[in-house]
Amino acid sequence: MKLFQKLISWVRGLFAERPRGVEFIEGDELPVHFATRNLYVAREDGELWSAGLNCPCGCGRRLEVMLLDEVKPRWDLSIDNSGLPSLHPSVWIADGCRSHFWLRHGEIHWC
Amino acid sequence: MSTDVTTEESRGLFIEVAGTDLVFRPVSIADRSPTGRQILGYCDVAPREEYIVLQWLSEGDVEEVRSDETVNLDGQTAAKFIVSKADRLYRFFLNDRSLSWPDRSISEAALRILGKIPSAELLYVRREVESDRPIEVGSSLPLADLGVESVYSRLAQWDLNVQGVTVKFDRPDVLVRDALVKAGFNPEQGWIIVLKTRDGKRQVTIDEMVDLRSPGIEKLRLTPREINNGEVPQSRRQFRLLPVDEEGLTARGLRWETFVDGARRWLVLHAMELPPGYAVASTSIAIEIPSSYPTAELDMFYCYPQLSRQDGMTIPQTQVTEAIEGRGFQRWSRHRGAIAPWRPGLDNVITHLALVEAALLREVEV
Ligand SMILES: [Zn+2]
Repeated sequence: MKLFQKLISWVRGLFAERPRGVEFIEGDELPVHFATRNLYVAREDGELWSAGLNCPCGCGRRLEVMLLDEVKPRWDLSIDNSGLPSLHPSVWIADGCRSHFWLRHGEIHWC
Repeated sequence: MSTDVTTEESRGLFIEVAGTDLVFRPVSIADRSPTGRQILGYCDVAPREEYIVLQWLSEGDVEEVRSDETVNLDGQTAAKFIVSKADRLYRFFLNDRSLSWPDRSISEAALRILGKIPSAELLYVRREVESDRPIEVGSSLPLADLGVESVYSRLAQWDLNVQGVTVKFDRPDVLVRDALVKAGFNPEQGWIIVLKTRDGKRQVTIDEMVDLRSPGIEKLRLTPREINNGEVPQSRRQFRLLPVDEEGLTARGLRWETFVDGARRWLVLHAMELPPGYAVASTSIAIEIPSSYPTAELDMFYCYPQLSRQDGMTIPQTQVTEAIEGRGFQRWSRHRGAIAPWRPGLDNVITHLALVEAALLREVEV
């Protein structure tokens, strides 16, 4: 499975996949469906609640990770000068496709 | 001789009188149509001009009886009066009845008595701009601050927003699990649950109680707990294995932990890669370590998630589920038997693992 994901990532890399941008959503929740391949971020009163994206493996799953300080597990979101998002640490799906990847500067790096 | 003013007609006639505490006591009167001034006289208060008389009417209104005003006491039951030292009256509404009150504030207890409001109901003050304010038990309502206050009662009810679904409760202590069920979410699915209040937020567990009386409770916000953040949690070492076991497991790059659940000791190996042919790519494998290990033998092993074959064929002797720390592990009844008996001093976790791997491979071998 991991090998397969790496292969897909490599094939996509050949076609120079566009990096993912960020879309902020006002409120504490993210939409049920993500219309684009961007990273969606729920922000309320300047506070970041969570980030979400469609699973980059293509399985169609909606992924959401928490950004709140008060919550575990949680992730850190950073946005570079080009407006490209990074998540720290890696995202690791416990079941189903079991994808494990890093989002760095809008690009998916498979583990 | 002075009691002779009591006529035959008025003999045994009395009214009930209370202060702002609304503790009523009977007061004898001589006349079926006393004035306010006479009532003060019966109550024996002085100086009369500093006191105010109010009548609590049977319909619920409370009205002033002026000193020269006459009250007609034709009713069957004793009339109720509130007599209090006061220089002015404060008017308010209680469940749409008009009341006058001789004090700058009125206690919640007095409101309940005057409105005949049962304890199952809560009291609220109507507000125009903000939401209506509850009157807490034991508190009092100031009457001099704003205009004419309007108080109403209704059955206690608490609202909670559970991920966009508003659920109503008739009691204020709510188990998070119950709130999820009531809102239509499966509590067993595994959630990151954040209790959001006006003042902040905190993560709560499924078995926590939330007090909806605390002001500013807004919402239980849910996120599926299906993604790990790649940080490998600290593995537990609640008991030691043999040195050869610990070195062997570490050398193989396995993530493992030892812990005690109930009275049983478990070694759990995480993210064990499986040979092709199973529905999942990896599993956790648990091995029970008897307290007299390594003299006592290791027997069987347990898998979580439970394994099934991709082709749907059943795997024999795996029908029993064993709860280990609340997770349902699938027991693989694989025994050493006469062919490969346990050899104390030679066999250990590492040699047992070889049997485990062989058993897992056997089921999917072509
Ligand atoms: Zn996926």
